[in-house]
Amino acid sequence: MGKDLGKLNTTHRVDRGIVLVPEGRRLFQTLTVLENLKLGAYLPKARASYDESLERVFGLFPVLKDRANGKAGLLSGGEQQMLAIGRAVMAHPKLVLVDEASLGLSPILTRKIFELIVALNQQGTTVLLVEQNIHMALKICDKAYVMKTGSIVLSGSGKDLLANEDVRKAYIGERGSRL
Amino acid sequence: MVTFTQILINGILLGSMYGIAAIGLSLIFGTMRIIFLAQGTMIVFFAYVVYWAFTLAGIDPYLCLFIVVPLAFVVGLGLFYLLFRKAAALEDKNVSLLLAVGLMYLVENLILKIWSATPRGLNISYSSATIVVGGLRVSWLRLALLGLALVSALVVNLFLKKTRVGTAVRAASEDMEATPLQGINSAWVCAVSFAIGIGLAGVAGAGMATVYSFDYQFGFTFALKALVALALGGIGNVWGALAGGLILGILENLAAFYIGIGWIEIVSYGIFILVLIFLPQGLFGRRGLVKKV
Repeated sequence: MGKDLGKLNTTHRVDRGIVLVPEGRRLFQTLTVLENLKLGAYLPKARASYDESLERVFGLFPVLKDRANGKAGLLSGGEQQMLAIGRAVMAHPKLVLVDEASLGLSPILTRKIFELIVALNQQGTTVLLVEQNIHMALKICDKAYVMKTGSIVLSGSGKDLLANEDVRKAYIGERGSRL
Repeated sequence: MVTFTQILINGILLGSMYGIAAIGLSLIFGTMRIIFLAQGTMIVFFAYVVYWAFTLAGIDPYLCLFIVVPLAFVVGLGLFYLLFRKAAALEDKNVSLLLAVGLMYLVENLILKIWSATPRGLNISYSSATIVVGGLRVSWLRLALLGLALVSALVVNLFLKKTRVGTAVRAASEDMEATPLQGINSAWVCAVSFAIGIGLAGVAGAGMATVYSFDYQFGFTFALKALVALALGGIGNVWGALAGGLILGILENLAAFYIGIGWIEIVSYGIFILVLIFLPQGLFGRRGLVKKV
C-alpha cells in the first residue's frame, strides 16, 4: 500500500483495508450474529460489497449462517472466534490482523480455526497472526518473525523457524535456548 | 372501582411524560455513560419554546411538534459537539456529568431571564375536551400524551433495531472501545444518541406544555423522576424505560390518593432506593444503572 498510516485514526485504517480481530474477540454479545456481521461492513466501501462478503463469510463459516439470528453471546467459544474473523472479513479487507486467535480454545478448535485462517488466506487476503501457539502458527505461515521486547530477533519462512533449534528450545519445549 | 381506574389512568398519563424523558436518559446513558441531569431542564426549555410559539404566533402545540422536535435534535447535535465531544472521549465520566449539571443551571437561569419566574401554561381551545368511556372521563390532551410516549418508544426502537447507525448505537452501548475497530465513528454515534435524547426532550416539552403548568425550576425534579423511572425499567430497553415511567406515574397517583398528596415524593424516592438496592438491573433491563461486577 506504501502509505504512512501513523497519522490515520482507526476508522481510516479500516477504510484503507486493515482490520483487527482483537484479542478476546470483543464481539457485540447482545447483538445477533448477523448484526455483528453488518457492523463489520459499516463503512461505505465495505457496504458496497456487503452481499458478496456475506456469502464469503457464510462459505467459510457455515455455522454462522445457521445461527445468523441468534445472539452472538450465545455462540460457543470457537463459533465466537469464527464470528470475530467473519466480522473482519465483512470489511472487505486487504490485511486482517488476528490477535491470539487460539485464546481460550481447545486444541481441536484451535486447529479448526487455523484451517479457516488458511482458507481465508487462500482466497487472497493477507493475514498477520500474532500467536502464542507457536507450533501451529509456524506450520501454516509463509513468513514468521520472532519478537523479543519489541524488536524482531529472528525471521524466516515458517518451515525454517520451525526447524530452528533456538525456536524449538524457547517455544516448543526443548532446553537451552538463546532467545 | 371507578375512582381506582381513574387514578390508574391519570397515573399512566403522568407516567407517559416520565417515560419519554426516561427513554432519552437511557439513550444518552447507553453511549455516554452519564446520567444527563439537564434532561428535565431541556424539557422545560422546549415547553417554553412551544409556549412562545403558541402565544406569539398562535401555533398549535401538536403542530409545533414538527418544529420543536427537529429543532431539539439540532440543538442536541450542537450541544454535543460544543460541550461534550471531548469529555465523552475521556475515561473519567465525571467531567461529562459536571458539564450536564452546569448546562442545567445555565439553561434554568436562561429560562428565568427570558420568561421570568411566573409559572406558565397554555390555554388551548380544546383543552377541556374529554372522552367519557364507561363513566370515566379522560381528557383528550392527556390521552394524547400516552400516544406521544408510545410513538416515541416505537420510533426510537425502530431506529435502534432497523438502522445502521441505530445498530452501531446498540453496539457502542455494549462496548464503546470495540466500535472504531469496525470503522464506526464513535463520536458520531454518541452525538446521534445524544441528539435523539434531546429530540425526545422536545417531544416531552410539547406534551408538558399542553397539560401542565411549568416554571424554570421544574426541570431538575423532572429529571430526577425520569431517573427513577429509568432505574425501575432498567437500561438497554426502550419499552422498559417507558414501562418504568408508567409504573412510577401510577404509583405516585395511588400514593397521592390513598396516603396523601404530601407522600408522592417520599414514595418515588423510596422506590428509587429500594430498586437500586434489591433490583439494580431494573424490572426489564439487561443492565441497570449499577453495573454488576
